[in-house]
Amino acid sequence: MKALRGLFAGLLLAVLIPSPGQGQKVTRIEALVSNNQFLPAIEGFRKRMAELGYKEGGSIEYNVHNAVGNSAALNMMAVKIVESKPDVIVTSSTTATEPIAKATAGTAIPVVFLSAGNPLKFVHSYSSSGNNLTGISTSSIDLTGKRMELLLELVPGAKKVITLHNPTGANYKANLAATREAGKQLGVDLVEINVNSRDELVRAARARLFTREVGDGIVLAPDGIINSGVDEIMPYINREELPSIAVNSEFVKAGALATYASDYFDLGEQGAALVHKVLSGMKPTDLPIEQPYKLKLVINLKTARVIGLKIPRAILLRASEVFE
Amino acid sequence: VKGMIFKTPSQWVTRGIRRRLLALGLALLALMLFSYTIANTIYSRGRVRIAQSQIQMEVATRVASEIEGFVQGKVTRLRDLASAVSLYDPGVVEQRLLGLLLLKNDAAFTEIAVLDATGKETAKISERKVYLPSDLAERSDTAVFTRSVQGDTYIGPVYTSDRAEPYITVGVPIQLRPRQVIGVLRGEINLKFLWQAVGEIKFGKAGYAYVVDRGGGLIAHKDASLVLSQQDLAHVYGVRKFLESGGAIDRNPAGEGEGLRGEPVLSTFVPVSGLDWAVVLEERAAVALADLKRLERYTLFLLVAGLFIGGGVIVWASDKIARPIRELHRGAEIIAAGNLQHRVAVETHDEIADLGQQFNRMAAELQNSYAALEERVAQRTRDLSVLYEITAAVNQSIELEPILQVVVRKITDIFCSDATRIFLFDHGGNNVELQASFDTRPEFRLGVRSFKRGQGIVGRVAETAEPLVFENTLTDPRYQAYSESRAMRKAGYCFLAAFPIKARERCLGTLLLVGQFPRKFVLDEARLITSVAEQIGVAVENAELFRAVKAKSQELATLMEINKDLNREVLLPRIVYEARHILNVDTSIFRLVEGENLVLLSASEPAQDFSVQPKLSIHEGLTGEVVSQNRVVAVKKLLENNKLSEWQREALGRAGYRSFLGIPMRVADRIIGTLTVFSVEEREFQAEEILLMSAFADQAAIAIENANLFAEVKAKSVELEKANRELVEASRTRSGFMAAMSHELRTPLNVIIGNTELVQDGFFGDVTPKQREALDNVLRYSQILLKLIHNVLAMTRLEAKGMTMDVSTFHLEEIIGQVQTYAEHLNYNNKVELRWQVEKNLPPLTTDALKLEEILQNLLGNAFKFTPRGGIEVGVRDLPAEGRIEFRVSDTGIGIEADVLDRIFEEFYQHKEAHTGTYSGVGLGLSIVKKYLDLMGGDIRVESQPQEGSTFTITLPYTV
Repeated sequence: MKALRGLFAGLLLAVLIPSPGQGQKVTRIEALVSNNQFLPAIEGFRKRMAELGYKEGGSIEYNVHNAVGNSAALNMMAVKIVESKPDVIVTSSTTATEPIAKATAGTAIPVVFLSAGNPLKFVHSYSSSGNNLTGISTSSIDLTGKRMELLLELVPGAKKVITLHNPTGANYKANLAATREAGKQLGVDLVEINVNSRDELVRAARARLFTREVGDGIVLAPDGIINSGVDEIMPYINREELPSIAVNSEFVKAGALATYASDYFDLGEQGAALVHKVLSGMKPTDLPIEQPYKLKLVINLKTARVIGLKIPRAILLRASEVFE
Repeated sequence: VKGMIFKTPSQWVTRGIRRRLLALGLALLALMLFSYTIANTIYSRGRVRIAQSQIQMEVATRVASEIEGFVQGKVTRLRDLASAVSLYDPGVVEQRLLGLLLLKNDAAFTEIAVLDATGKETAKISERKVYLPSDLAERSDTAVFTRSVQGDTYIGPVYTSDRAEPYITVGVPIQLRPRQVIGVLRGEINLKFLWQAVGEIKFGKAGYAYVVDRGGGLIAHKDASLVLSQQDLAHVYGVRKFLESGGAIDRNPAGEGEGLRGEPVLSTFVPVSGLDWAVVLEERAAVALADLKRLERYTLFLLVAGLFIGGGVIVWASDKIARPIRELHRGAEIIAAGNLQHRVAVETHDEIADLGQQFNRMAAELQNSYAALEERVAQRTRDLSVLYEITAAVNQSIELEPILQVVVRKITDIFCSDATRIFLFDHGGNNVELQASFDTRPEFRLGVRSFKRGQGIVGRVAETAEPLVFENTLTDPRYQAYSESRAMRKAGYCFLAAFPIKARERCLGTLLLVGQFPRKFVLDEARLITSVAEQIGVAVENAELFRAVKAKSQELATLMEINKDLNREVLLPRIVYEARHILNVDTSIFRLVEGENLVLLSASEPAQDFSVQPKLSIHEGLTGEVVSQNRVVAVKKLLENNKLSEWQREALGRAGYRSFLGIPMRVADRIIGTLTVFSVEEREFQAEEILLMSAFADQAAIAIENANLFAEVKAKSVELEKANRELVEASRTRSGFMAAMSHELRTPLNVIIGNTELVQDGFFGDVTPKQREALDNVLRYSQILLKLIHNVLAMTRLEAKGMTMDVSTFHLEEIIGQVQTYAEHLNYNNKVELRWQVEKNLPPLTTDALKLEEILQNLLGNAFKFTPRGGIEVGVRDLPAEGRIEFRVSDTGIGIEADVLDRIFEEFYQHKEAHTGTYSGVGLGLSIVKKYLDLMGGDIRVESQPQEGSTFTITLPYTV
């Protein structure tokens, strides 16, 4: 009898409770990153989305695409993503956002970029994108001067600073201008090294272009190609005891000496709020481009020891994060 | 009106009582329940509003306090920093480090600047910008310095950075000790953090908070986009309250108005102490008052339920009251439906029960009245039935006698009389004569069959048109006075009723009913008999009218018939016969005017001793006067007429003729003869008779004229037929001759052509160029001659046997090839330029191929013939839309004048210069073309301008 009651109750539940596939609409979000370094942004985004009530496997579905530094693959992925007509596209970095912006031009597919060093490349203004995009500016290019200032604080008396650039990169011109402006303002000579690919970057490292003879320190630029090769060139740089300033904390963790930047994980969380607004019915054009809530000074003391650099106490006091 | 329900007054009353009871009860109930509901709703609304305002005030106050705390916290931090900074000399590294640490530890601060007592920046650090010593500037004129250097805390207005984020500038004095200000510390605070704090505030189900400044600008909101869009919110209800409050507290917390997003909200504001800002709380009215709405719905449900239950009770009560009234109503309906035995049973023992008893008494009286009424109706129905039977009998026929026979029998049966008689006035109206009679007892049949007008009872009634009824002739003194013969009484009848038979106020006779025994004659019977007599009058009048119409129609038929006869032999005797019968005279004579004489044409049955003169002078006697004076001559006393000669008088007297009528016979005002009639009985011919006779004479005159014309036409037809036969024979002979001749000409011509070609080909030895030239001429002219003969032969065949077709399906290329060869042959000397425009892939044709070839050859032959120089163009094209092929032959020849264009297809028509020998031919080519095309379903048209050329265009269907 009990068994029968249970069976009946089960049947009743089966009838009354709709299965997820039947009644509930599943929101599909396609995420595109150009490189591994941006994956923390996606993680932060997913974490905060879950906190906002979007449960994976329930009301939301994510497909994350990583071009791993391959620009051709990135463009192809962007086209495929747009063709699949998702509910929202999430990107991280200017490099990944640019092809998506181009492919969605004229459509209503909302695009939220979790980080973009130079968002004005694809939005009208910070107060309104004027199109289907919105997102967060990493202020990465804005902080070029602060990063160079940091290098000078870490290496007092530095006169020559190596700067890396990718002439084919999305932010090349803006980067170059900001770097030169900072160099001029801080009174240092710049040794500008251009690399067009990851291979070139690695070859440059192997060719000992990043040494104390060439410069007193190196400032990396926020560029997809350069970022993709940071892991590989850091050992060369540190071997040369060359103080290096990276563009985000991930590279500091990977061996760079220090950085002053926003944190991608934090940006992902901040971007989730924007996606939540979009899914609530707001149009991207009505959502202003946001600035990072927080900027972090990150120091790798291990690297400092390796390259024989003593970090001033005043800087350590200011650091938000220190890797030992 | 179909579908409408008509109610008796009692229905209205009954239903009205119930309805009024219901309406009153329901109105009272509804009033009570509505009053309760409204009062309850007002009370509940008030309670909910108070609760909402308490919640909103509480939350807003807390939020305002938090914001104040937030800003004050930042101010405190800045003050702490100022205290620390004061320990160091202006511009030293430590001051900068302290600032940097504040930036690190409090993300709200984005920039810190240290100003000395003169307003000069000694240190400046930023989260984003690089400031070098060279960037330090003089700021003594800024509000932040001038206020803070006084020892006050300065909080600036909200501004927006180039990155569209809200900031405020806060300044605090740097003091060594109280009232000793050595500088100012300026901090830029990003209010985005305030957004987060405000954004996390929630209350109620969907309540949210935002912060506005004194200018109505949005400072903080959970939706940053709203803040950055820098909207003016002065129109928003909560903001408007704040702006109008002058810094006081909200006097109408949780008031309802337009919210930030344009929807109705409940809104409360609380000023933020010391900042000139206010926290505004909003919650969508629909959500905030949802419980109230639910309560209202519940109350409404209770209201409806109460109305239903109360309504049911009222219906029951009103039904209880209205039931006896309904019983009365039902009883009234049953009685109205015809059941007069029905009685109502109301046992309420009150006034309605009394009403029921009165109702029953009334019903009983109604039943009695109805029975009497039914009896009267039955009597009336019987009367109407009688009248109907008589009317039916009257209408059964228009022959009077059988009608009257039936009527008298029916009257006898219906009125139970022993005899019924109908007397009618004679033709002269002097006597009333018995027309119909029915006796139940033949032995008493009345002997008198006619009464003079006014004579006896019958004659008196007929004259006065007033009825006379004698219920008992034995006792009634009037009978003694009126009756002359006492015949009725002698015959054994005691009862006698005489009624006038009238029609349209004219008395036609008397209806007489008699009975053996005295009887009472009631008024209804008298009325009914009067109606019956009127019906008899109608029948009599109808019969008279019918007789008159019949006679008239016979006369008209005669008039019409006479005109149809075209045969004189039949017509003449008929005219005199009909004339005699129209006027019912004894003799009629028809004479025709011939010069000064009237010649006898026909006479009908003259008297035995009367000899009709074959010829009379138009100046002689009465007949001559008809013609000479062109008028009708009517003579009543013929023998006394002084225009008769003696011998005429004698002859007429011998024949016994007494009256004469002579009518002129006219056709279009021309007298062609006379129609005269003689009557043995002396009579005066009436105007209608003379008119009728004149019309007949006119018709007869036309008929004679028609007969004469017909005879003339008939004679002409015979002549024409004979001439036509001769023409047909002559044509056939000509065709035969032409065919034979053409054949005979063609045979030797073929021999000539054949032998000439043999000679030309050198079959009989070498030919010199001059001989060849001569032979060419022989061949060419022989071919032309052969073509001419062929055309003549074709035409004669056509005329003799008609045309036949040899239909086959073929490709046009074959025919065009043949025609091209023919054309080249004609153009042997290249005197004209010959062009061909033949479309490719023409569809096959199903028609007579040889005839088509011949048509084209004829058109080409003509073109060559009439084109001495210039060019000829032949075009062939497909017209798929019409399913036809078009052939066009254009030349630049002599052309055709417009006035002869429509004659060129006639046989033997030739161009005017053909006869001069310039253009040879016999004029058959185009005629043959036209005939062939008619046969093949084709058509041809020609366009031409004299001296410019002609274009012949023909089209043929794909399939004939």
